[in-house]
Amino acid sequence: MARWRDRRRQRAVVKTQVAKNKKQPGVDQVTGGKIPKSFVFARGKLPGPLKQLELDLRKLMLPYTALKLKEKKRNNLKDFLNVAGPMGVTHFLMISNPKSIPYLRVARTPQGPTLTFQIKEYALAADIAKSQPKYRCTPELFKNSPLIVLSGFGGGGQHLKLTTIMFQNIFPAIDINSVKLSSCQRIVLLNYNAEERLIDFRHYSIRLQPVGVSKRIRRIVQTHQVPDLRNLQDVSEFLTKAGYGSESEGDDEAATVSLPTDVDRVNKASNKSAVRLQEIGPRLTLRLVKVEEGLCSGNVIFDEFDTSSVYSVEKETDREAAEDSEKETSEDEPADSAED
Amino acid sequence: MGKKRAVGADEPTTTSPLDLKTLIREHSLFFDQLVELIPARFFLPNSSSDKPWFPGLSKSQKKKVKTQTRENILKSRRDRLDPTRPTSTLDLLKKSLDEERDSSSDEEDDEDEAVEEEEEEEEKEVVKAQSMALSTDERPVTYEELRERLRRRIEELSAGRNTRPESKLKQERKKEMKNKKKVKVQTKRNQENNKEKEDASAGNTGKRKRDDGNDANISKNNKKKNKVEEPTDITYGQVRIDGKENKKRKKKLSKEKELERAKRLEEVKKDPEKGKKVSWKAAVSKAAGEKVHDDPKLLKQSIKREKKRQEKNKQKWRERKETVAKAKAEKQSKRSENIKERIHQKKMRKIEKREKKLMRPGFEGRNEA
Repeated sequence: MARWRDRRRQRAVVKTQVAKNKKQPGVDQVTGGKIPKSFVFARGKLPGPLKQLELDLRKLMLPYTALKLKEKKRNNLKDFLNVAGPMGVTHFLMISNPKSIPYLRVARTPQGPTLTFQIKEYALAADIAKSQPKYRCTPELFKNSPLIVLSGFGGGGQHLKLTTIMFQNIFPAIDINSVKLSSCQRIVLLNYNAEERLIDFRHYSIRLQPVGVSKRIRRIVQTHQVPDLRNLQDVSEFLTKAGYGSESEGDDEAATVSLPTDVDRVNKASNKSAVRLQEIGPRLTLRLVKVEEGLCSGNVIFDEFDTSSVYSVEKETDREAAEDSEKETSEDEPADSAED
Repeated sequence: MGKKRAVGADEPTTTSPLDLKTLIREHSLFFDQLVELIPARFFLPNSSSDKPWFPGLSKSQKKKVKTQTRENILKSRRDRLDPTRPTSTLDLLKKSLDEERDSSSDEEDDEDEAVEEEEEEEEKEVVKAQSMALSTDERPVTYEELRERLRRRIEELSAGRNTRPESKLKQERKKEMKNKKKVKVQTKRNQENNKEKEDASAGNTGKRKRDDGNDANISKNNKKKNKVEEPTDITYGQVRIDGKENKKRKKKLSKEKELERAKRLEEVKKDPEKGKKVSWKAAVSKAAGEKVHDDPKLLKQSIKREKKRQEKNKQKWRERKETVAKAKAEKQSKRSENIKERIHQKKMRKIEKREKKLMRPGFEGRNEA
């Protein structure tokens, strides 16, 4: 009897173990390229809100990241590197707080460059959730990796180009021919403000709504719930009361698309749908401060503040100013000589 | 007791022709109304030839008949709603009677026919008028009122919707603010943009989630009266357009050559300008995921590792060969030994056989002479 009970327990234990060992694919079946995976962790002790920010970033990077990564005080960067190799992790996102200034470092694992961003401002996902009346964030959103759009990075400098390439490669590539539109549910926007040299980082969820269908009818189709006609005199009231679409439809003409395939029950192919973005996730304002050649080591090839490094923005502008002044003086001289 | 009789007795005594006519008319109207209540297919005599008989037919015939019945059903549905065709029982009855009359006897009096027809028409009209009267008495209470209600509601809604003048102003104002800001930023950006714009667009692996994203942009541009340039330097994430793109097969140099190259690069890096270029290039390709071998230390390590691996393999091979040879030698020797033994044993057996004869009891020994 005892033996039989033990056997049962053993079997149960084995089942859970098997479930845990589910592996994530290392190579994308569709595109054939390697899927980039990331680790988000903290270096040093972080205050409460920054810890929360770290968790938010981890959620953002799902599904190809370690959600429950546990780091101990005694773990070095080397330890992470050692684990990263066999697991196929390609990027590290490190948050640190030296001298009470939060920094975010994005690095490519084996030997890759490290971009150091200073976090000028940040807002946690919880704050954004509270600020919105209708916050919609389901765990299904995080089953696919987000799309990424970068704007304003075109002009000015190698460091911006490097940033774009870095961020483009953090998320896996998308094969246009075989991607399911219903799997593109999140989007990350990065906007570069050239005046202040700040990068805005935003994270939205994408929702498609059919255009030209009133809210009530759409609700019936989507939720299959019989509407409450208690206070209405007539069925025509129900249909006409909703109005013709929402008030903001006039604005969003540019944001409507005609879908190539069916997405939901409601959004059908070759019908117009409006793309609605709702903000979820953390909001960051970053300034690129340093680019190093190695993983938190190596040459500093870009430095925002320090003029004695190999390349810096201020140095460039100084050089240009010097050239301009030289040109002016050279122009003045022949003019003076002519006058003389 | 005599009441009933009295009631019944009074009416038929007045037998003036007009009264009789009206009486007959009333009776006929009553019967017509009764007939109207009965659906046509039950009341009218059914010609048996019309009934379709399915079971005895072949497949193709059945199909034909079924399509026919379907068409008939649709036709009858349409006819029911057609106001010109008669569908009430009374009309159909009349129709069938006419047909019978036409088919059976053409010798009847036209006058009679006409009179009868007129009468019937009049009766029909009367009936219809009565029904209309009945219906119109009830309907104004409901139908007209409903109409009025609907009209009122539509007016209300349209009045409510025409608050657009105010909101439109607001929206326009918002757009103007946006445009002003964009113009400011754009003028600054355009100065910087002109050099690197081409690079940006070239590096743009341009997927658009929207098929008519371009159209949307164009329409947006046309909308704005200021004709401000939209920020065109938008880059998207990685996309694969073709399934199998041409993978650049870089020639793989041997590790020593790579080492030399790396050493050269290191020297170049010390040079400020060229070194800058080289290091940026390397950083960009590393960020993109390509493997760049430019660290001489690592290269040396890998060369060393490879050498060690080769050594180890060599040794393993040697050992394997040895063991194989050893095993072979052993087996061979064992085999030859066994063979020898066998021969020896054979010989011994033969000798024994020979000697057995001579081992008789009482035998003193062989005479070795």
